[in-house]
Amino acid sequence: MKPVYELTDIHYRYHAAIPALEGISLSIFPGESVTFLGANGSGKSTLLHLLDGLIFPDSGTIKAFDEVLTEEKLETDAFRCFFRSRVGYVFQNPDIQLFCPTVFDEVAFGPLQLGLPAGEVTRRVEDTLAMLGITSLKERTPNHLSGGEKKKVAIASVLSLNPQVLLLDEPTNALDPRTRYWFIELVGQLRKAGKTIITTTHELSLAAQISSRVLVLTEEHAIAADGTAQEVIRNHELLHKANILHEHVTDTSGYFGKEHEPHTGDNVIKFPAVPAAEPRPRRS
Amino acid sequence: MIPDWLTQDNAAVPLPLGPRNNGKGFVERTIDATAGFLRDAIVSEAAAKRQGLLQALDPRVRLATLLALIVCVSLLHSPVAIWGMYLFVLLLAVASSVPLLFFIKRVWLFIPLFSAVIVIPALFNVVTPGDVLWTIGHLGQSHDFGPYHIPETISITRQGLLVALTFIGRVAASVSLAVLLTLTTRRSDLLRALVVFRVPQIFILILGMTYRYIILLVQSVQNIHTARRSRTLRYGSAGTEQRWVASRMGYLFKKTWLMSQEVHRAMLSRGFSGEGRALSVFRAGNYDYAWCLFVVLVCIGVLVLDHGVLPN
Repeated sequence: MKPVYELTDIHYRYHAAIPALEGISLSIFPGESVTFLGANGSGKSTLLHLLDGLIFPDSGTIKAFDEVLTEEKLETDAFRCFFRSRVGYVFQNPDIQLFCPTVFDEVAFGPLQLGLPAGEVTRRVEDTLAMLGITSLKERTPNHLSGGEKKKVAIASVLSLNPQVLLLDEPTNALDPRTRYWFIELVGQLRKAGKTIITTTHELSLAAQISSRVLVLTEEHAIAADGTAQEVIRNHELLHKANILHEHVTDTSGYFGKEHEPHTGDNVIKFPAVPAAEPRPRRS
Repeated sequence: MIPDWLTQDNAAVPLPLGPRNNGKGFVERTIDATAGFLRDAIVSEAAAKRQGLLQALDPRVRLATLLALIVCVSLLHSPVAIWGMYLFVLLLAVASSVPLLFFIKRVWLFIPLFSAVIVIPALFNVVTPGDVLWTIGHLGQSHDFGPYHIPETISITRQGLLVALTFIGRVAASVSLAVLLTLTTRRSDLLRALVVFRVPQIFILILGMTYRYIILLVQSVQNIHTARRSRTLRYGSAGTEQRWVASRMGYLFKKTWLMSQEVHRAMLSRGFSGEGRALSVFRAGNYDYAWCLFVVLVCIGVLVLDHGVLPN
């Protein structure tokens, strides 16, 4: 099986001075649920920006779907449509992501950009809103939504693209316990539907509940460990070194208890495959 | 390790010297008033959600017909026709379940700002000579400044009053129509309806984002000031306060700039390539066509009366 992402010796610095990622090499395979665990400032969000082709490494190579991801390539209509229809990014701050006047417009934005027919766009929007239980918010403006509702709309705005890969940046930050659990169930359903889920978090319990694989980013911006959730989260020495676990915490086995296991449902909507977008003529 | 001082109660805090400064300062009052105005004027969509004559129309039809009425008002010359149109707009507001007093207050808030200053000189015989209605004062002798003649007696003239009434009536009717449009139309529908006038989708997208983020930034400003207020025991000098305000303006500018970069990335992430696209969600029906016909007839009727029958 070919990896979805293949990163080789990635280095990235902000303003050519502040290190954010140092020597990152890894592969992510289809259907995996990978979580990057790290303390604040370890480079988790930067890594997701790189994986979404929003910024590009100072050195090293990122291959996505067997193609080298470069700025020049993403400027071509054919590759941009191919890549953007396959990768969806839920930003940490939903206010960044919700820029349209209404929830309906927000969820329709991605499918419209893909050039889907109007009927298909409407169907996707309505199906996605219904799946996430937010149909009643359809005509609301994002200014009038609560934090949890904004997060749900942000997720809907990405799911309507029907991406194969979902990038989730600190997805449960500032969520109340009920919405947090709803989110964990949703990830379970999406995993069951075969999506590749890449999450960043500093919450051990979230990593334990949604991940098939956990990678630890250190404060030196490098990968310190790559293993199953059980292997990584039970390795207290590693977590102490990465500054994720407080020295007084000596037992993390509770994160794997039955009460933390998410339920998975079968009501996952299946979108038809995205029709191959025809490159539009460039405007002069 | 908690330092000792953190384990003890504070000693009595000395009261600030100098003038008392109870309640909110000028900056906070201004911010609260601005936020309140934005909330009422932009965010509130209460009237747009009510059932009414205009709300039942397709937003595109509503936009086009109310703009047609504004054009019609601007072509009228007779004060009777103009004030008649103003009365017609008030009837439209009532039929659209807009509270009349609130509507009149909202409109007349703008009239002194935009028209009174311009129109006051026109009342006097200095600008509009004619039949004297009310004498203001005597200068002793007349004066000439180049092409301008200042008469010996300054007075309000009948012709000047008619000019003022015509001008104010035209502004009142036009502003009322514009306010009625924004009160009865949800902002998102209004933006979508701009397509009728061939406004490019990218402009509509930018307008929508401006509306979205103005509210967010005003909330940020309010939060900054609330946070400061929660830790303020005494206010500084005017200079200190001004420096603080200036520094927060700089901070907000930087925050806005960084946010715009992030928003652009979020747009790129969902396939944005510089081209705005939108769904056409409106459907015009018989009611809309009947309303269009009615507005056309009203415009023609008023223009005919204005040019042929009514006194100018």
